[in-house]
Amino acid sequence: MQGRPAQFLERGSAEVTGSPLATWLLEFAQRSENRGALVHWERLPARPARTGDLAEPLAPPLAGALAGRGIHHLYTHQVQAVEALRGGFDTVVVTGTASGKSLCYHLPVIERLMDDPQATALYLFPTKALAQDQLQSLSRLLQGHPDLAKRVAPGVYDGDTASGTRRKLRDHANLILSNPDMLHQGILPGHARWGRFFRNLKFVVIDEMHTYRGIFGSHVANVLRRLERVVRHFGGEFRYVLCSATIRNPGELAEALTGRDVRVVEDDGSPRGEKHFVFWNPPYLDDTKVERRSSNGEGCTLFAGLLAAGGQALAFTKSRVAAELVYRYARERLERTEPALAERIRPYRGGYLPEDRREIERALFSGELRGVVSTNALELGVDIGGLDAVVMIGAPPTLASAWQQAGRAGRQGEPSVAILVGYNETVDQYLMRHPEWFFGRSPEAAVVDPDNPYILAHQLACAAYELPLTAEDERIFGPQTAAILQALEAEGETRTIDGRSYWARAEFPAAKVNLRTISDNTYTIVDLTRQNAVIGNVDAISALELVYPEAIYLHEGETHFVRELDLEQKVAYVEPRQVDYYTQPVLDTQIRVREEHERREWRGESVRYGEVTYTWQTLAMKKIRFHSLDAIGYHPLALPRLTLETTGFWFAPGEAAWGAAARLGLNPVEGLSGVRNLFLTLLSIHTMCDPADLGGMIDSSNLGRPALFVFDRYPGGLGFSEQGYARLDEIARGALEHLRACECDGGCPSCVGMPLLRPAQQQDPDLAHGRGIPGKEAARVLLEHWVPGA
Amino acid sequence: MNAAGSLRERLALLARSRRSAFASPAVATELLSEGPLRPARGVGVEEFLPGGEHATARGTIYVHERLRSEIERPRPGWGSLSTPQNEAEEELAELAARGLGSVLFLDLETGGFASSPVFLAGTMHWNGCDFVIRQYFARHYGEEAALLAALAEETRGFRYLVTFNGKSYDVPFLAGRAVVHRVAIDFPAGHIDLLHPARRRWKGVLPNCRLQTLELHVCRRRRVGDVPSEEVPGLYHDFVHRGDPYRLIPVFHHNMMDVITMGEILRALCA
Repeated sequence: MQGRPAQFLERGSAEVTGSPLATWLLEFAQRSENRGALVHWERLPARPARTGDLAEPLAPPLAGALAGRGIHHLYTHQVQAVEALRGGFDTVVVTGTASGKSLCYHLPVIERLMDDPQATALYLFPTKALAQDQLQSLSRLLQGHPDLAKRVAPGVYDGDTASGTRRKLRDHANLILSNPDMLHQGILPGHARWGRFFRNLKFVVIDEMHTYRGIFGSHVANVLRRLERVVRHFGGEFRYVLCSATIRNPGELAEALTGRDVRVVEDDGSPRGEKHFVFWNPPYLDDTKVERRSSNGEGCTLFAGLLAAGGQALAFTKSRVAAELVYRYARERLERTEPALAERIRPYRGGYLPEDRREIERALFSGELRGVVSTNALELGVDIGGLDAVVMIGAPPTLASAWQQAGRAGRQGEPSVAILVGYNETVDQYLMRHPEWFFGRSPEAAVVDPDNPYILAHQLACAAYELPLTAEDERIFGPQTAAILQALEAEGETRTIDGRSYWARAEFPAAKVNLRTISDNTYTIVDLTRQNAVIGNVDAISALELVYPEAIYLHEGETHFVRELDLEQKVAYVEPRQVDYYTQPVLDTQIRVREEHERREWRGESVRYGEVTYTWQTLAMKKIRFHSLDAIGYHPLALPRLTLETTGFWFAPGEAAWGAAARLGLNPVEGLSGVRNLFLTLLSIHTMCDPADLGGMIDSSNLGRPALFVFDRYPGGLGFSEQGYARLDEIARGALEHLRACECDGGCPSCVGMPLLRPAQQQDPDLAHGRGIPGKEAARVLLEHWVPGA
Repeated sequence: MNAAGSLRERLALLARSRRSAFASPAVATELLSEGPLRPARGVGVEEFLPGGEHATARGTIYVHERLRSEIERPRPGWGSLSTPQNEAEEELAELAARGLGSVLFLDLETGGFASSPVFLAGTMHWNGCDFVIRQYFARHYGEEAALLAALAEETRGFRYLVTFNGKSYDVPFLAGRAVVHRVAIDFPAGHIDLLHPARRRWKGVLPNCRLQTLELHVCRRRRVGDVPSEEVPGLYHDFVHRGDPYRLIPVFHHNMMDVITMGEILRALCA
């Protein structure tokens, strides 16, 4: 299975019969100019479908509608899910992509709505776009039989819904699709108007459960607690159905989110064709072995080659810019070699208009489009059918993501190909050298902490506004409820009268609580040459890195010049312009101490805790020529600095620690980088947050010497780094243990390297100069200096 | 919610105590329990607004009651309605035919947002020789249910409810709060929202049809020192916290003037 590539290349031809694409790939890898690129070939065997029968068959309208879509049997996991829900159990379904997961909730819900004309159901999705997609696919299902369409009246209720429609949905709909942010700020605070809907609520569906992790997940868990409480007030009672991608701890996460005992259904009966999972490392440009060939270029060549070999393929990229570039390159290439195909590829990303995205999805599903180059926007949800091949240009940030993306390849029972192309940077190169790390690891665990006091305080305020809190609510919100309420009371936020705590301010608490760390503001992008037609949108933070004035903005592969960026109105004005370059933002990040609250002596170091301000700003832009990647210009820009005011701890290691490393010929700053990564990993484990909820950097500007800063990635802080400050010994000991236990030689993403990347900047990853993984030795020496004898 | 110093300190303490093996949790096992708030200086609204406690099935509330003739000199014929000039106003004509005695005027003061409480319900009705103004007042959040119950009783005797913008605001708001508190309110069969006939009559004639604009032109009365509506919720919360009625009195006054003005507008429309 996991053969060393050279052997495979010789022996391999027998193993790829039956798959024209795998055959093509093997032949391509064997060409002299590609020698050495193929570093791993994993053959995942096929598995047949396993179906089952329900104890009570589906009602004829439902069965008929399914048959109309070509579904004549249910897979084992679908049967188990339906039986569990019919039996009244809260259920979580954990299966891979294209396994028919949504039927696991559509079927029991539709059955119930048909049986009971008063019953209602609520579907929650992490994004508005997903809700819209699911409405489409649900509507298609319902159209399969007139009885279904008559009994089930679904509608999306979110920030974009017009007020007239909102009223109709509240009063008449029996199936509502929404998202947690809307539930938090719109629906729950106005619950009086939802009396009918809540009184009759029978099911709450939580799709893409694995996205509810870290800070976001902890907030959502509390929003669900508030939902349960309000529904109970109206006399309703419901079951949860959750759907998740594969993570290490699905049952645990489901229980933490819902507060209930949840039955886990993971017996995935969907068929899998044979999958050839290949790692491709672009060869060095020359014998100096310094630079490799462009990964975007390699990805593009593979993508185009797969299409030319007759396959339908999807290329995933790590950033929007990369998606545009790879599409552009692919189109140029195909125009030369296979002109008929050049028209049949498209780029895809979240910032395109919904109607454009729908069109691309539809065309992909029907086969009109042969290839799409996308960001991770196509990773979740949306049914595009199975494709023949997936090319991942750059490793996605988590294993779960990687398997989701690879999962897009594979039609029913047919063999498929997934190729991971590595960038010339840290984590990707580690994967290229150690594919066993990728295939051997189980996916990450998703962690939430709904009882984090800071989060709970925000959420209890919202709950008190909705209905006064009583001692009963301790059962829902946990044992700290009383203490937090006392704190809120002391601040005058609530007032307790006769054992009931009422919200006592003229403000609307939910408006000040953001479930996510980044705000949801969007900029629209309009084309000046087409009467300001809106061509796309982008979130406010990315806008300053993508459509800054004079930027070249790529849209559907075409170059557009940004004439103006209106910060007030949140509009970017662009016009198409033929240029042979694109632009890249030059970002500057800084951290400043705002106020020190405490300091303590720790192992000879003076550690401080307090308020810090983390800022980032687009300082300038670089012009980069297409293909050659030559930098042909650099221009300073005047754009606002974005700010995160939070809490954190910091210290600058003293002479003793520094000397310990230097004396052994090691670089102390490198060691400190490794320590930073270890501390973030350990801290996230100890404080039950997601590594993405923490930030860390090495900075010399505050204390005049290199200092390690660790902070919470949430305005105001949530107590994570505060705990780190209090428990440095534990963290340092844990870090040392972790480092020693790691079997790698000099360092790897599991220990001193960054195991999880930040969400990609709006950069072309090809241009990033990868710093190596910090040396393990240097980090070990520092840690042993601080906690000797550990 | 502002994360002021002491709140953060308490939360930090909690966060630390969660993990500490030794510290006993700094947690109270019961919520602070208080009876209805005692006013800070022993002076309650009753000092300024004569009335008394009113008992309902859901508890007691305070009712301030006045005769309009105590505030204004009675105008001739202020208790009678003529047929409206505009024949298209059928509902108004019916109401005028039945007489002013069939009408309950209503105006609410609330916390301002969807699930915030209603704390003051101003009503007015004609008792045959004078207008009776009754303001039902929840002295704290726990009395809202009683306020709703009292209103439910009050509305039963009338054929028409008259409001200003009540179709969009007051009635749905009350209905919502009634649902939350599980109080049954049967609104009167007829509801005249004066905003609509007022618009039909005075649009284009007056700069706008806001209540105080109509008050100025129809009643020839301009308010001085009236409390702005945005401040009303804050004043109520302050009162519940501190029990000081002084700053709340203008809210009662504002509500009373609104209800009286509605009476005048109805008379002007039925002239």
